[in-house]
Amino acid sequence: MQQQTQIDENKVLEEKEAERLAKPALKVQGLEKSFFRFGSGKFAVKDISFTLERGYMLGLIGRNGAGKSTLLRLILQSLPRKKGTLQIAGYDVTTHATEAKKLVGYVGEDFYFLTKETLKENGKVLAMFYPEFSMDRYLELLGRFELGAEKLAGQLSKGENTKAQLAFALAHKPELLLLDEPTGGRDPVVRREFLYVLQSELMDERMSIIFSTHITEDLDKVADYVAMMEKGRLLFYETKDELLERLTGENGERLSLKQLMVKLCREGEKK
Amino acid sequence: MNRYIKAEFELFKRQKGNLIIGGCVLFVFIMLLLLSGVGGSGYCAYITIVGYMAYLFFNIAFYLSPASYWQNRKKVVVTTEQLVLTLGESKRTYVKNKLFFYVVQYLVMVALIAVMQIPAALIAGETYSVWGFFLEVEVLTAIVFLSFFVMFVIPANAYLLAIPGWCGFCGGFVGGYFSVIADLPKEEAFEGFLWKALFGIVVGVLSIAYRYIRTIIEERGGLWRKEIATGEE
Repeated sequence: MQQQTQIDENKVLEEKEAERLAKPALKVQGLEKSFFRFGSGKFAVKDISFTLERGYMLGLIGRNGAGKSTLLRLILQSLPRKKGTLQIAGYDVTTHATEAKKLVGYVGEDFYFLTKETLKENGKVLAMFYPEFSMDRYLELLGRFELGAEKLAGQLSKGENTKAQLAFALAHKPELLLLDEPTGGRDPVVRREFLYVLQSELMDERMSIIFSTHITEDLDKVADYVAMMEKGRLLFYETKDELLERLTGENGERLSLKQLMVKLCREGEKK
Repeated sequence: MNRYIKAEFELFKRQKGNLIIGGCVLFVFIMLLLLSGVGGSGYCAYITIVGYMAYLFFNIAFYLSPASYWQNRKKVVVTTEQLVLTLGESKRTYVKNKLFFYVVQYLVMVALIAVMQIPAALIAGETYSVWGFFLEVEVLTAIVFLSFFVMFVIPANAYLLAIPGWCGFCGGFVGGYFSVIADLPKEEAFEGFLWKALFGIVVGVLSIAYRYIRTIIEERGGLWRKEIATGEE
């Protein structure tokens, strides 16, 4: 009898999990945030809405101060939002903040490793925040990136830091990976390696990635969707191919993402 | 034990510099407590302030994480809040754990004062001083809970950490000082202690409630929650 109840409970849990996995990796509606920035006055992220399905990569472009990092921090919930709703990997963050957070991975320019500890020790300590963290996977990825697990985090170069962060983020099995300018200032070898790992991670169609960057060449290679932010608003959000098809140059020629971004920024300035 | 409490405690343990200073001040406090039976009520009130300094250093260790990075040739020490929110912890859990740590620290200090009255009485050749215990706990309560008030109302900022510490210190010092100079009969003084401690606790509880409600509102994304439009689902 007890066994039957256990089997039924497991079945219900499995069904719930399957239902959750069928939902998009991220659903954002009416997201807003305003705050005061010293030197440049009031800044606001206004009315951001979009949905990112599982297994896709969204490239987030826009110039400095457009609100890309703010948007990522709002999704990560390290900044409180003023308005709007967020659904991460099937969890509404209002009611399931903890469940949603453990499924988000973050790689940023200034990630916070414990500087005086080795990468292995960092893995041990920071892993306590993630129930699904796999130490084996973390060490395997560090090895793949040719990073010594006994190296002190404070001695890492920028490129190594990015790789270590990615190894950590992937080791806790996120369903949404947020990348905030991860390839900025990194050499081409690091960037290529980084993009290769990301592409292979997308294969299982469980995880989605938001990749915020200025280096649009990286997105040319890997992004499925492209979104552009300008003055805190989302100018567009569509598939890369459709976008490049729709927006052409003055003589009808096909533009690269870089040319497209410059064009849209100039048009914005004229307005 | 809650997984996040364990994880945060692990970060706390790695703030060695502040923990060593806090430990040294705590040691001085314990030594001073030993002499509280000999020193009289004024002495009792003042030494509690040393105890508060220890409490403050342990809180700095809790407030700042062992993570840092360089920005424009300047070392930026990341707060524990920034770190854990970047990792897999929600703000509500963080605020709950922070309160848990504060309360545990406060109770440990109270227990320490209560226990140290025993050797203090032996050294002074007297019986256990309930009077001394109440006086010290009253000053500690006023300082700690007034610190709560400012700490929770001010938005989280590493540079502002000194302000709540200073305000709590002043509030408690003034409270302790008036307890000493009033020279009231013991019954009246006891009543005064209770009122001041109660005031500190009420202010502390209100600020905790304020912070907690504010956190919930932040997590909800505004005071009134809009239901997520599920479309076809």
